[in-house]
Amino acid sequence: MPDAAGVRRLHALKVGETGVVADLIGGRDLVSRLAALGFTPGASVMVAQNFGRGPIIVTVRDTRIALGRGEAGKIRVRPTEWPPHRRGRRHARRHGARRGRRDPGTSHEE
Amino acid sequence: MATQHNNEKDERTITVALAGQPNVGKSTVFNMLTGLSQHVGNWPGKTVEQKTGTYTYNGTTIRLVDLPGTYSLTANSPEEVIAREFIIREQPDVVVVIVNAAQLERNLYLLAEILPLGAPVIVGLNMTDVAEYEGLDVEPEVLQAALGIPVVPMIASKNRGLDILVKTIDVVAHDAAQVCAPKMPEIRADHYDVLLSLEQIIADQVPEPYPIPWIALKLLEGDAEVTRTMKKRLSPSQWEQVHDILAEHEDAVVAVASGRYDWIGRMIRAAVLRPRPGQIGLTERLDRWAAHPIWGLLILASILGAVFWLTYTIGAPLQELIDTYIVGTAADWVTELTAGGPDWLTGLLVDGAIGGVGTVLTFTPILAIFFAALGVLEDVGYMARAAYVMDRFMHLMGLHGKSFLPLFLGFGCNVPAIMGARIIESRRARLLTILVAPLVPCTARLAVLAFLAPVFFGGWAPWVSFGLVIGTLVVLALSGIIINKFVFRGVRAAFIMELPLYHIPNWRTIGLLVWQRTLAFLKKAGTIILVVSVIVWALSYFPGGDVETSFLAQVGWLLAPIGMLMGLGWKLMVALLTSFIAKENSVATLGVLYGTGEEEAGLAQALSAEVTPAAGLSFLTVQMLFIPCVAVMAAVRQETGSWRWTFFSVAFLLVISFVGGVLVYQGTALLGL
Repeated sequence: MPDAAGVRRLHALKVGETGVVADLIGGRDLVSRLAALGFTPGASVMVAQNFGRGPIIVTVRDTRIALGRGEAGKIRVRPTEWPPHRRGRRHARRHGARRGRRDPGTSHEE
Repeated sequence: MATQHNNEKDERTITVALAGQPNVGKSTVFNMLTGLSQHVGNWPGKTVEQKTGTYTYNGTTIRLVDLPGTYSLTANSPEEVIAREFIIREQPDVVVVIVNAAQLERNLYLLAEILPLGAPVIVGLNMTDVAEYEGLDVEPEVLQAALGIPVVPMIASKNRGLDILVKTIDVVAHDAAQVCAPKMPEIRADHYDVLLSLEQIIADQVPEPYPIPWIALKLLEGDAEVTRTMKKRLSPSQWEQVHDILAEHEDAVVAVASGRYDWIGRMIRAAVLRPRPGQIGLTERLDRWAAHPIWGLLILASILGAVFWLTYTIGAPLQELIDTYIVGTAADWVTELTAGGPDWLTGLLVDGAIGGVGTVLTFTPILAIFFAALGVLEDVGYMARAAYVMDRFMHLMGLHGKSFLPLFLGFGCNVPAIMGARIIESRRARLLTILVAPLVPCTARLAVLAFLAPVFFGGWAPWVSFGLVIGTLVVLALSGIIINKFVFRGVRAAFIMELPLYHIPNWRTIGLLVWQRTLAFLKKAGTIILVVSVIVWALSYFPGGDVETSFLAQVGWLLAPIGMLMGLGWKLMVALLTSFIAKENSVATLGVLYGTGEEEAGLAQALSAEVTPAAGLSFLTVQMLFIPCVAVMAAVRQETGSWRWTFFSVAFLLVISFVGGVLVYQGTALLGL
């Protein structure tokens, strides 16, 4: 569930949803690898594939990157409403929060 | 050729380092420039492949060193350390950083890491055609003006722009100062002062030739290697100061990376025109199928099925040709040549040397075709998708998707599988992959299965064979789970993997890959396998001159009590032991022991008369799970760099194969079969 500032874990975003990286949590090695791949605060990301379990595919800085759910959970993003014509956006927004509540990974560290 | 006046130039060799992130077409550039002049080896003391090659330009020899493809230069992996140590210590005349024009922003990150090392840099702006296809408009001149270093647009796979790259390398090598005045990336403003104070503390303790600001930056990034070095060099009070600063700025790693991306943003702002967002490219459309959890698996299964079909349809006849015409002829020829000499000499050369190495050689066409098929899949960009869809399953073993490719190579031969495990970053995951890889049924084991299954089970053979292969893979999975849980305590490696854009394969790159992998395999066959084949042959020949009374048979007798539990007589035990040279030897040994010679029909008759189906099933089970052949063991030793893990691997396989054999034999006996 999004917290007051609207920050969510990357794997809680649905397909087609976009966001801006807020911060990275986790060990320094992992953070350093993720940052090198382009996941730095302010970078826009889009979830290209997410089936609710298993790894997800994210687009960041023109690159498609596959991330395990654990790794994706270390990236916190602020969802954006843009771009407006993305397929599935409205659907994702309406159901995203509900999914977030079921997913313990999104709320407990807030 | 060379005239008197440019002799001086001739004698100088220019060293050029080729750097780049993965999936930028770096190896294509390297292959195009150096062709077959490549030398493939290992970086000193590391199990990381080192490729060097040469080309000449204007009478000057240029030595091209292919640095490992890495995303950054922080000491997260041996590859990253190798790349940066080479640039700092060997001081190449020029560093060429290859970037993919379609992923410029991400690719320039490595450039942002390389520039502060001080070497003259050229940017090879590769894959401009891909960028154009993706709707990106990249202007090389504008980028060059922004960066302050030469930028050469090119399409390496179509051999376009490489001539200009070669010319530019020559210009920069001779007068770098004139063309290279790079604008350096800086740390994010809020950490600027921190970096400065770090630099002041460490300034007089930084070893030559490391740049002081770079060391300070790496300390802030928490780089393990640099931190260790500086801790040793700094006085305790200095280290305390450094430590306090680092403890206070644990988040600095993100600030440093952000600083680099801010710099990249400034560099490409004017040079890149983006397409309208949300445009769906070919890659995304293909990935909806190829990376789908269900369709992706079906696609993977069909592709792998096709690879096997192709390999065996083309490879098997070739294998027979080599066996009859090359190995057979060589054996006949040597037999004739040594006819007057002692029996043991003929035995040594024909059964030992030619028998061991020859059979391995016959697998070369199958391997080459297999390598080619996988090379295409790799170059197209598909293998990353295979790893992605397999991740869910590999996860169970504490591995991730990346281990899938090397394990799949194992169906051809376990040796390349173990060497292929190098692509896995985490040492633990790599070790685990190496430990389970010998359980992948290789071509040679499948050949034994194909020969013996009909002998033992008649019409049921295909089903039994299929069951045995599946059973072996189940054992592989269980072994992975067990080793991961009890030896590695269940820690899992992070799964972060780039999915490259799909693109048309480059045949030259694939050709060279097949050539190098096959050559590496042949070299091994020519050395280690030769030596051990001869040793094991000697054990099977001396002291009496035949297998029945040999040292090997004595070991077989010793093992008879264990064999009894598995329903295996000493002959079958000895056959297992000789499969240590090469798996397919067990058939040949049985031929000798049952006195039917090489004639297969006779052996089949003798075996079906003497061995019950239960014992046969047990034998095949043990054969599938048994300790790997010599070549595989050598590969395990080489890749793990440790005898302990090598022995662990052998002992582990020995235990599971015998346990498997006992379970199968006693189980079938209980069922009254």
